[in-house]
Amino acid sequence: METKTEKISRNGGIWKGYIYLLPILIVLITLDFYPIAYAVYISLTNFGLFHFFSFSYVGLANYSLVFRTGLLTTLLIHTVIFSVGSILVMVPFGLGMAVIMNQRELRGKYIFRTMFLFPWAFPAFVTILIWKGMLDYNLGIINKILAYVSISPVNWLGTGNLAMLSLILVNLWLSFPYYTFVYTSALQSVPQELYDAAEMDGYGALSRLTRIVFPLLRRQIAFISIFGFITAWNNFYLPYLLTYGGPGVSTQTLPIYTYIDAFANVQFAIGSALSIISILILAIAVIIINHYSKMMTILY
Amino acid sequence: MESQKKESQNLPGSKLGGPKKGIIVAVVLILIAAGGLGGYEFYKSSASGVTITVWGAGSAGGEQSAFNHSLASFEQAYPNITVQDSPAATLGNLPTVAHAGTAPNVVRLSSDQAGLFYSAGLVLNMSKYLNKSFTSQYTKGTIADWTSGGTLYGIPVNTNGIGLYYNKQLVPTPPTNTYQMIMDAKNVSDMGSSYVGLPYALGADYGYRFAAWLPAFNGELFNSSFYPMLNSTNDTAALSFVWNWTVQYHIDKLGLSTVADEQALFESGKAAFILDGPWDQSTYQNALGKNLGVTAIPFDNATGKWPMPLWGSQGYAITVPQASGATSAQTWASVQFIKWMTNYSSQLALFNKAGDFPSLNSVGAYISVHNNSDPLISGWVAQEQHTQFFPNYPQMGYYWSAFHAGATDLAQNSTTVSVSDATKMIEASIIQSLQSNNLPYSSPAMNYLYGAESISIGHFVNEITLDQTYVFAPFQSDVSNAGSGGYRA
Amino acid sequence: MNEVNDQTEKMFHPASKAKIRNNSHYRRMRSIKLGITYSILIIVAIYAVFPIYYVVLMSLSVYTTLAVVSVSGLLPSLGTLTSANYYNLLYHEPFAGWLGMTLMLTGISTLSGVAISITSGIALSRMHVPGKRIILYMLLIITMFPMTIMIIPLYFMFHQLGLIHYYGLIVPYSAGAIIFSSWLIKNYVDAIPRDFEEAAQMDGYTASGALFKVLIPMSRPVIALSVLLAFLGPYTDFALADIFISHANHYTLAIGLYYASQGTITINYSVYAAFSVLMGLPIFLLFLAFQKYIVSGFSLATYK
Repeated sequence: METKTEKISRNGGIWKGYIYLLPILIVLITLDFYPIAYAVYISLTNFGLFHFFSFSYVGLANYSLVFRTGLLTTLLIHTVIFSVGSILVMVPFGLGMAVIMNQRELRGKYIFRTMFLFPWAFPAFVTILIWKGMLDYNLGIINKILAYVSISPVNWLGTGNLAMLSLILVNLWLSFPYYTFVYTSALQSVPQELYDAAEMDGYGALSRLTRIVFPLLRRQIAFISIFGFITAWNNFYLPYLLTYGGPGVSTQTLPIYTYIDAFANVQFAIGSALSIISILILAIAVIIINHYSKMMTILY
Repeated sequence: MESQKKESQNLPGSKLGGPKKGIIVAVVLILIAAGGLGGYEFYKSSASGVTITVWGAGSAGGEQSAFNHSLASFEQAYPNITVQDSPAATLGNLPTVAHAGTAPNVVRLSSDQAGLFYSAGLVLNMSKYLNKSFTSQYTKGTIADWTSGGTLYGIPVNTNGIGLYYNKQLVPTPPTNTYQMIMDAKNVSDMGSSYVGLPYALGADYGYRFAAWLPAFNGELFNSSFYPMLNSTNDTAALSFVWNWTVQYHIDKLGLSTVADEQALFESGKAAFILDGPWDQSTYQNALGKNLGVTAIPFDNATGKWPMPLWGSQGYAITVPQASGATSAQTWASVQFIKWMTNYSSQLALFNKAGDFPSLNSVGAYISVHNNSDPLISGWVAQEQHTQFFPNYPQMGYYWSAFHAGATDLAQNSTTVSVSDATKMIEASIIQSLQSNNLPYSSPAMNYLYGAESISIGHFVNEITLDQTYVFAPFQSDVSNAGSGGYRA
Repeated sequence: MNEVNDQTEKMFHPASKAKIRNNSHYRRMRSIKLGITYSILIIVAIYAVFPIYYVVLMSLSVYTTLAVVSVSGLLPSLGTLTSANYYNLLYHEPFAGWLGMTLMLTGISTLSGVAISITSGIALSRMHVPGKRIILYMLLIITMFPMTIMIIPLYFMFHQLGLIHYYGLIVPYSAGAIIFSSWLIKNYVDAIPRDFEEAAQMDGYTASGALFKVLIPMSRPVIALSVLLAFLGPYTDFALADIFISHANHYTLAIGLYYASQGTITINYSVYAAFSVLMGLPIFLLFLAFQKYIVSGFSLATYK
């Protein structure tokens, strides 16, 4: 589309474009493609505990191994629960907050907006560790507050399902500002006259949302949700720092299992194979979702 | 939009690729400068005398201060050797840096983690450098911890495990068998709803404490061909026994789910016993004072066998030259260094500053003479007679979280999950991990991994008894140094 | 131009709509609605701020462990407040050195990363380069890759180049910023009409001169956003820094904080809290400063 308006003579030759793109091409090739290709290569070898300094090509053995033993299934279930669960709470929450924040009559928007900035503006690395302290069974402030209102303490990080719930809720805390901000800007791109016209036609607030805002913003919402899904799928620091995959193996997701297996158990080949599978599944999921949501048309 | 236009009109009409090109040039220069600097540093380090790098110095506080103390005396004794230490380095990075050939020369770590690295060929076989008369100075248990397939792969600097702490106010004389232990605990539990005789929190156990009970029921963690035995009749009996504390004898309570919970109960005088190691002893002493006692975990009446806690050790290992790029001079310096760091005066300093149990018999003897008035000594001495080898083969790494998963399941879904369900699950989970990571677990042909001698793990259990009695003093700081690998999370 | 949304908001604020708001029923409904709105906002604001409030409180507290914090202690009382934790941190821990190291690393990588992102973003948007779509798809796909998988190959590669040192980190850190930021800037620039460059060209600028001199000032929101994102990555990175830096003098804040949380470095909880607050502060200030750009930067950059 752009080529129609673009005249080669106007912006210099093709070579000039490549000169400008040279840094990013170098970065892509050396710091992204090479490591990824290397990871693919490692995943096809037996590089690990028993073949550390000299390893050899084993074909797809590592891949078939993790499929066969069911390890992949276990990890996938946890990863899907975490990433889909995160999206299911984050998207409605962010959208809801955006709708609320987008009301014209609202006073003190700036104050609220600044307060919502807090979770986003503190490094997640720091706040995850703070949450870990807050969710502690005995010493955590959350159980102390519960005790204050006569609710028996909850073992947030020590019970399988609750640990997963805690992960999702902390993830919500970490990312709702982002969703609120992005959805707010999406809502603001809807012309105000459309709202007003609908209001005059007697539409209530809810039907205005469902009949005007959502259809108009379908693509934006899909785009943001898919990006959130990718981010949650690859989220490493949150489960690593908050639960370390525990209790037992109940919150072991693909990124942290991969990291722990490669680094703590010296299983580089298996870890790489799992990472590659993770990326492939993610890419396929995104392509399928994109097929239905058409969100990536923005690329053209 | 207007303002933007004006802004652009005011600009001088020169070629404007300049600033951006400048940035690119600057970036390239930075990269080149960085590369140059790296090369220079490399040149510098190879040009100077013998420098060795060390990762790890023990836990913060007492252990690190003992490390610094011994390091200072080492540098005085060997002025030609410079030691660069990284006390807080992450050991998980060792394989990566080793593969690149940039590993540190020396690592301070637990025997099981060192065993894992030894399996990968990252850690030097020390048998070449240390003869039998050297190793005979150390306790048999710690030497076993640092031996794989008949080869020594490091030098132990301390040793530790769990024992049975008791509150003398509630239990005047320590139990001599498990029946007595349960009855004593029951008496305390019966004192009121806030009392818990033997708080254990099975749901919080990663299998470190549980492993102690296996020998009492003739059970084992892995058999001699590394097959996980958790689902065996004996292992299931051991788990049933521990689980019965909750469901049959009511001396442990459901709902206690963290180790901190049980500790709080014991500290507040609401518990008769607690199974714990010396790293928490100072806390208990502060809370209970003279009422604190420690004894060997008593033998089981039914089987007549003793429970044996995993008796771990921390120590020093040297990485292979292929991993660290060490010259023979550096390897020589590394050997001198780790011998120094584990010698008599270093271990005595470690005991005095951090309360670590020594691995040297001579230090044990010294302590037994100088601390013989300590009331907790006899308990630890008794416990040391019944200890089990801390597995240092890589299969063990997959036991902890598998056990924890099974134990959590049992503790949280006690109505639907039986003990045999849990042990089945634990075993299946370990096997899944072993299969997924290509670790052998049933073939006895393990010789290629562990050297010429085939070892039989199951038989380690009763071999390790100490030929010398030695004793321990109160622990002066927070020592938390049992093994590695997150099982005490 | 930067405040596209504010402008739209202002444009569609016609006073003529006031007529439907005049009856009392409507007004009552509106106040109920506003009441609910404010309650929700206040609850969410508490949810958002509480953990930060809690850690700030801890950092100023005389208590040294989590155990002694009680619910009533959530309201600060003068007797339990102290600045000693900050004093300890700044004078007894190597915090200042770590901060310097972190700011140096993040500063250089942010500058170089954003500079490259601007040229690439503009080139991707405006210049005719065959295979551009492929590059764009690559940029998007690369964002799907978890950083952890790259650590081992990167380490081997940088070792070969002799760059295993704290300054070697600048390269992957800059690169990390480039991928997403180029893509953001490209999308943002796409939305800017071409008339501006053409006008500038008529005023005597060269083609590429016009491009950069006109588009860079106009892309301020998305550049601000890129700076923020480029800064956040290295500032909080632990996994890569941990393997590149082995000497305590060269630690970044993230490594220092991680070791402190793991107990390899002992500090008590309130000093740890002070550490967290001090580490969070620069980012928070950066966010506050760029707040007005964030919304507009995102809205135009992430979709059209």
